[in-house]
Amino acid sequence: MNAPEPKGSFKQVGTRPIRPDGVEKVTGKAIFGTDYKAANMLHGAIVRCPHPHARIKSIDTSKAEAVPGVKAVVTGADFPAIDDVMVRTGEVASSTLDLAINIMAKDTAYYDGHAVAAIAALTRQAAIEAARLIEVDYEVLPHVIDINDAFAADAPKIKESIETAGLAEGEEGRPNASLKFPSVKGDPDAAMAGAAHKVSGHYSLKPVHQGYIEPHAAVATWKADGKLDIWCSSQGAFDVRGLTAGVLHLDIGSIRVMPLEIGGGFGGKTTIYLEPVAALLSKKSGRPVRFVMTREEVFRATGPAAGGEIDITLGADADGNIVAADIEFQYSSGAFAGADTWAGVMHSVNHYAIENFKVVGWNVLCNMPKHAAYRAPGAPQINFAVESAVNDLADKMGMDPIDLRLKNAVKPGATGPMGNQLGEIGLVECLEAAKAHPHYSAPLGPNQARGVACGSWMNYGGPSTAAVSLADDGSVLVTEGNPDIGGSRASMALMAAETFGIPYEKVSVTIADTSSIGYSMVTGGSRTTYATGIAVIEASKGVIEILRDRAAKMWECDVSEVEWGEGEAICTGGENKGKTFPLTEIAAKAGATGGPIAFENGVNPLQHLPGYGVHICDVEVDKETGNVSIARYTAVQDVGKAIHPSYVEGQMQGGAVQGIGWALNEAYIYNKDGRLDNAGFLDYRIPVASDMPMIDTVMVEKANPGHPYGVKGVGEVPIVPPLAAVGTAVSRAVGKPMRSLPITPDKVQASLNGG
Amino acid sequence: MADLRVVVMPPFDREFFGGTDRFDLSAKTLFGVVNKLDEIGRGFADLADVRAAFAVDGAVQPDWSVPLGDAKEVIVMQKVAGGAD
Repeated sequence: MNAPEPKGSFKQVGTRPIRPDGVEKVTGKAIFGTDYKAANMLHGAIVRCPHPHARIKSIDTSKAEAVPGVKAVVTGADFPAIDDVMVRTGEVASSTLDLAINIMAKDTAYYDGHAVAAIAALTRQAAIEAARLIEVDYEVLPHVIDINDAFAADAPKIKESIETAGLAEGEEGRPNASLKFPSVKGDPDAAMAGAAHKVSGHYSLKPVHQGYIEPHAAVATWKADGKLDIWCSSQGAFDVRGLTAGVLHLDIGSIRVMPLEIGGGFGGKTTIYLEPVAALLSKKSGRPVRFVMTREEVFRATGPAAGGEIDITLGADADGNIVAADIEFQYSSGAFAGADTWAGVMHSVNHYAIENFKVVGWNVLCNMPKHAAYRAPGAPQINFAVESAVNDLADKMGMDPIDLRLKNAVKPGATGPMGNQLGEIGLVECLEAAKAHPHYSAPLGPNQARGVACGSWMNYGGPSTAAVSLADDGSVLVTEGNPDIGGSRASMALMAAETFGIPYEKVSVTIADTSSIGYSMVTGGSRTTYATGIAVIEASKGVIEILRDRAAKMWECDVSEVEWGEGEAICTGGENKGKTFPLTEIAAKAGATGGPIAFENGVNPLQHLPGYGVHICDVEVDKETGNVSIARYTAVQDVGKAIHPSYVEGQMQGGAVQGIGWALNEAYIYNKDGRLDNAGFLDYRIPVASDMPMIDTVMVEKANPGHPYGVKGVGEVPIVPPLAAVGTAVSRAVGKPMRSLPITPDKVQASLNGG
Repeated sequence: MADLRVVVMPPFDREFFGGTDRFDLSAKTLFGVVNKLDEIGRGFADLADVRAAFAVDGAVQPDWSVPLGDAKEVIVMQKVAGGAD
């Protein structure tokens, strides 16, 4: 079931043209991060710590430096000493000190895979061989991997500097807790005491990786004038520039980052790992240096999403109104403080109108890689517990789970958990669409069961810049600063075409480097189509104003007598009344009417609205092997206005599949020595196409009045509900609650066998 | 000059203001709000730009220079990260 096309009064918005970058990508000609090569470049290799926690007593690089072809070596000692200042990373702040230490350990390595030295050589093989000859003398220190172990009051402290922020006066923190974040509304204790129905549970999730196919890669060249050029794929070239400047103590203006095509990021490419290392090696060697991570390095050294331990109790009155929620959880953020705990609190019960709640989140450090954002970071984990508990509540009360949710769903005009107004939200419409969908009432087969869950993400806006210019033949050239990950070139072209009233094919979109366009925040947070879209629309309107002025000059009338129609200026007064100038004719005469026609515009919109989704999942359990397969899956989502419906559906399907992987397959497996045992796609199993049925999508298009074409963010919501939808379905199929993810065959077998 | 109730959400309330989460103050713009909060909790202004979002009478306001007029309430909240795509 998909939205009809095109709908409403739009001519371009809502259609499904082929993406501008499609041919280049499917024919293998597009240049991704791993493809870029610079003339005369060197190849880099990184030495990584084999211990989960170790003091670096000494590093001897002499043997490595003697290897033929080796041109430069760096260690943590080569990085500048920096103050611990906060800088923007995507939408939140990060410590430059944490970033720098994560990129290259100084005196202590904090996880298996932590970089301790790097080499640049004439060939990749020479660099790898030299890396093996670097001698690091480690003093192995106690480690903690499991979040329960790390949160224990007597846990070994992995960093002396850890202090628990957010504590009440006199309250004691935990050795590895960097944050306690409480959020309380009403009187949850009294409301819970008076509840007619209560459900409780403990839920566990493991850290998972974003699973992007393209590994991290970067080429850097430190030029003779002291300036730095970087070529890499990322979710935001401007943030690569800013973070690299922070870590290397450089002026931002001295760095230019050229964005390459990106093969998936899902939040994991909103930070940096390789760029400063390549830069320092380039500075030492005087040549460009290229790094490409192996898959093993990606798993051992780049950010997973947080794992979690969650306790929850929900209370409802006799009519099914949820009157109280009591939730306490711990999220692991690897060896550095993270931000997902805040998001976990904010997204815990924000989709329900609950007057009394207490939600307490803890951020816990452990000896794993520094966590990174992953699609709705912090929301899927807490949602797994909340939505599973809501399903338990529906079962206990004998209510239909969607009816229970309809009774408690937030509605337009409601206030969010942080006091902000939620505006024109569409959760109720999504729940009604899910209940009406044929899937919800379809009969189940043998060993099959069904689960349903809903969830939300706040979405975001923020700063973006776009420029629009005209070529002499009337071609419209859009330049933006956001990497195209999910089809944003097509969306930007559609919005520009709609604004001008011209065909989509007349618009070309370019992703510019950081010296060629103004600042644009990362492609992430479900912000790009919304915020950069506004920048494109406003820049297009700026060009239209110029076009009206140029037409007025040619008609020798006042600009107030010129209107803009479908791709043409229309004279509304004087002797030329009724005449038109097509955009192409005005562009052709640009030289005679004032020169080139162009307009650049920076915006910082925050009239974004949260998105909501409802997922229905049927699973089939093989009672002999314990294997769980997805028999049928439907995702319903409030998407605002879908600019390019195919890419909205793609986001919904992709997010659902990633959530299914989190629920059934994916987990980091560390051995007793704290080393990662499954650092590859053979042993860390993400879902593949043959695992999945067709993910049906239903787009509920409730427009955002804060965007000219009604856009809401769509990329993050779809990973939120799957964990509980899948978990509930499996629980029903086996007849016992399955509250620990991933629900692997051995867990299913144990449950079926009475475990 | 608007007379405002400023509500500071976690973690800023405990991090900068000793657990106090409500302040009554007057300001012409959000710049004034941030400066006055910084007088109470030193260091807040340095981090506000990268860590905090401000809702004026329930609507998030990205432009700190917009006159607060007859606004009644400012909520200071944590920015939320995102990672789609």
